[in-house]
Amino acid sequence: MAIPVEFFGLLISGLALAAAIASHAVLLRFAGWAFLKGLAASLVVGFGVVVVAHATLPMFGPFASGAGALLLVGDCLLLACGWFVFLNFVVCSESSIRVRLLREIIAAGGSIAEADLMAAYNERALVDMRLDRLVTGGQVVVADGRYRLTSRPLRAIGLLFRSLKRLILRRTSEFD
Amino acid sequence: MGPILGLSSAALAFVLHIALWRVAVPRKPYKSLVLLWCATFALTLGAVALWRGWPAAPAIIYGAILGAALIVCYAIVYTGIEYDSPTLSVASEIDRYGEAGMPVGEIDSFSRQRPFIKKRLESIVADGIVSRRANGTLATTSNVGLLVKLSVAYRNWTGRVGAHG
Repeated sequence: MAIPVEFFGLLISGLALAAAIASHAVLLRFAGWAFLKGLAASLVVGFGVVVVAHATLPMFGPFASGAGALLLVGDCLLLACGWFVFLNFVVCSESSIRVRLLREIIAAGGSIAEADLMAAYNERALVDMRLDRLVTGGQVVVADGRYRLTSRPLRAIGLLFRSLKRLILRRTSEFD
Repeated sequence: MGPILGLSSAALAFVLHIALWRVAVPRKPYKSLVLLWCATFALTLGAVALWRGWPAAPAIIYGAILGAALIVCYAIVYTGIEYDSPTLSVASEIDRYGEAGMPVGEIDSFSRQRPFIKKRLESIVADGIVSRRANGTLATTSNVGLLVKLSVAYRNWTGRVGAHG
């Protein structure tokens, strides 16, 4: 009985994701690549696997056929979704407030006095840390006792999320 | 047909989600998102069956996996819509001052008006991941520590050791 082409598509997407994750780990650990550069490269590796598989394996139709193109798009989307989950998994250990709170509690042996937790990790320390990153990264400059935002991508992302909050939740901040 | 099922069910779920959330945000938004997608997947499948006949099982399975993957990704994005990113909040607040720039001292008042950590702590207590005892201590309640440890282990193995916050 012939194996359905959709199952091959799922298999290829899974292998492509595995290749993307492996390439990210290898590039960072052994080649000393920067985190974002490694992420971009891993995504390229993943898409490369999907495209090459579709172009060379006989069970996939030619790109020009409707069914072949559709499955290629589907497999690319599956890879992109898996890669996005991986991205968030890796980034959350660095910037997620919830993860930091859990790490503090786990590091204290599974339980901690709330006052001790707030002393170790508080609002002002969090804002200062994020602001330092923005200044170090060049997205914010300090001059004449004032902060100015210089990053267009960051401005655009901020606008996008405020628009989505306004559209879906009818407010622009969780503190409104 | 599989990719069409997955894409259209996820797109329909997204459109309905916007319409429904504007009326009333569910108390359990993530569970509601998943249930909404299950409903739109069934609806899309029914529509395809009426239009072109019942799809083959592999196409249905493929569509279900793709649709579920898209909804999971949107749920991750939704966390950024439901809660404010401190980095984006700081950047947006600075940008609000435009060319004049935000006075450095204003950061104090900004921090006081945005209790990011307190709100996140309340949410993980409300979700049951952490419990608050009568004596004022907080304790983890589930094995979510495993995911946290995996994430930190990957970060350490790839050399991403640095300040976290």
